[in-house]
Order: sequence, then C-alpha cells, then structure tokens
Amino acid sequence: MLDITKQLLLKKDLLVGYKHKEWDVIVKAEQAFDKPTKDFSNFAEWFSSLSLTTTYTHNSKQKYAASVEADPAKASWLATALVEYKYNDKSLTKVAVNSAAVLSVMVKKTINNLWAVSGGAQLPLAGDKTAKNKFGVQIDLNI
Amino acid sequence: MSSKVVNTAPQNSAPITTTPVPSGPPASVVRTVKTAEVSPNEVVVITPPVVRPALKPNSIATEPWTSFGTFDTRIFKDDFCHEKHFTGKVKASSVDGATFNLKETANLEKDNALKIKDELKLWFPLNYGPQYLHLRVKDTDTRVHYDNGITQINGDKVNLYASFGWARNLQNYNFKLGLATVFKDFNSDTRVRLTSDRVSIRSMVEYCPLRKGDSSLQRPPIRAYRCA
Repeated sequence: MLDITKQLLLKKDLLVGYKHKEWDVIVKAEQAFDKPTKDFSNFAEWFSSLSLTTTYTHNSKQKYAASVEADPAKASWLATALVEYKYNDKSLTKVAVNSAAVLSVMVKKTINNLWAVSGGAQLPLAGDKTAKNKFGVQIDLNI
Repeated sequence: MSSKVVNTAPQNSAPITTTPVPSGPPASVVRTVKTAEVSPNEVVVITPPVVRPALKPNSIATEPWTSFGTFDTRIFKDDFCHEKHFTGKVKASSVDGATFNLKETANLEKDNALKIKDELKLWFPLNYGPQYLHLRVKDTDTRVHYDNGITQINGDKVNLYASFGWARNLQNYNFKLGLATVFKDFNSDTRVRLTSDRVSIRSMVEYCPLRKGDSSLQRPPIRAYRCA
C-alpha cells in the first residue's frame, strides 16, 4: 500500500501457501499500518509480524494446527498449538495452548437450523503475568 | 369435464401459472395470474421460487489484506469468543439473495463500565444481476459499497467496485475505487483510496496455479478471484 501524498510505502504483506493432501503450510509476513519501514537496510523494519502456520486435517472430525509467530522488531516469538474436534455436524470444540502458557477453549453447539450457542474461555496457566482470565458467550440466530 | 383447483400457495406469493382443462384436444394456454384470479375450471401449476444463495459481494474480503480462501489462515481466531463477554449475531437471508447481519457485543471493562458495540450489514443483488450493494453501519462509521460483479471485457474477467464511507461525526470520509482482474492462474486487486488527508493505492496479486489433476471446478465460481 502506497501513500501517494507522502510518497511512502505504508504497508506490505506477503503470503505463501502450499497445500498437499491433508497438509496446509502458510508463511505470512505482514506489516502494521502504524509501523512503516523507515530504514530499508534494517530487516527488522520490513515486517511487523512473521508467521508460519501448519494445519493437518486428519479426517472430517479432527484437525490439528501449529503456528509460530515472530515480531522482528522486538525479537520475540509465540508458538501456538491447536486441536479442533467436531463431535458431529452440530458440536465443535477447539483447544489451543501457546508458549506463554495461555490456554484457550471454545465449545459450539448448534441447537437447530435457527440457533447456535458458543462458550469460550482464556485461562493463563503458570508463568504469564500479563494474560488474564477471559470468558465469553456467543449466540447465533440464523433466520 | 370438471376440473379441480389445486392451490397451496399463500396470499401474495409468487405468480402462479395456470392451464385451462379443455374438453377437446388439449390446447393449453399458459398465463400468469394472482391467487384470487384462479377459476375453478383451471388446473394450477405452482412454479417454485428461484432461491438465490446469500453470497457476499466479491470485493468484500474476510481479511482486509489477504483473502486466500484456500488456506485456513483464521483457524486460530474463528469460533473463539472469549474476547467479549457477550456476542450476539443475527443473520437473515431472503430467497432473492438479500442478507441482513446484525452483531452486538457487550464487554464489561476494568472500571465496571459496560461497553456495547453494534454492527449492521445489509447486502443484496441489484436487478437480479451480478451487481451487489453492500451497506455497513457501525457505532463509529458507515460505509456504502457497490460491487459491479465479475464481467467480461475483451475476454478478460474483471470486477469493478467502489465504496464511500464516513465517520459518525460526518467529517472523516473515504472513497475507494477498485478493479479486480481474474485470470487463469493469478488474480489481482487494486484500489485507490481517497481520504480527507491522504491518497493511497493498494495492490494485491494472487498467484494460485492449478496443479496437475486439479480441476478449475474446485474453485467456487463466485469467489474465483480470491484464489479459492
């Protein structure tokens, strides 16, 4: 994205994906709007987020995913593993845990053609002082 | 010869095609009538209404900068609902493809203040053609989006679109004009954005070759240019 007024490259994103049978591999490089590259000789300013995501679809019920996300400017990274399990067409569960020891859980239940209810929670396990407990409920009505 | 009227259509329903039952050789006359106009001597044939899928306009992306539908880039975000204490979503679709989406979120902040956000989306096809009008109203801003649909110019598939948005205070506005092209293996999407203080251009190119054994039918036709 180019700012023509200031002749500035505001943002650049790059995604490379490869799909082979049940495997998806995605490499993503993104730049935030508020972090334009000022010094192109410094690679840390090129992108604000680099990520590598792999998903494996075991069958129609089970899906597994792993992701590593890095911030070049802060030289920090975060790894996340996720399991998705569909009990049937109407029930879904996702569980994710990251390297900061934060557990995320969600359950979705489709009651009928009209209603679906989801519940989610984020629970910091031992270690991370910045993350907090979060809880949420979602109701979907499809008319 | 007596005939029996079969009429299961509700009032104000789609037009009904009727065929008179002749006593001699059948010389059917087909005409479109309202329910109240049906004579007892006519046989009623009810034509089922054509149901149009409630598809989003092509230029409305799920993710603002990358829209690779093939790859599951949102598996770590979709379905999780713990960021807000309460989320309510209502989706209503008509048989004509018009869709109404309402999203309400409520979150109890640190100071025990309840913060509520609203988002309303409405989109519908124009004149049953590929053109769509998309309206989004949020508690902070409003946007009207026109999508011309995928059309062919000299054999190349292109999609023109434009949108106009403004903030709630009616001061900050933005205007976008975009052109997406659809080719066999790669697609592009370029848009110029005009705001009160900036002119910017965004361009996205997607290269997504079909491998040996893949079928172009595996790409949903409507979202083809998203490399899906």
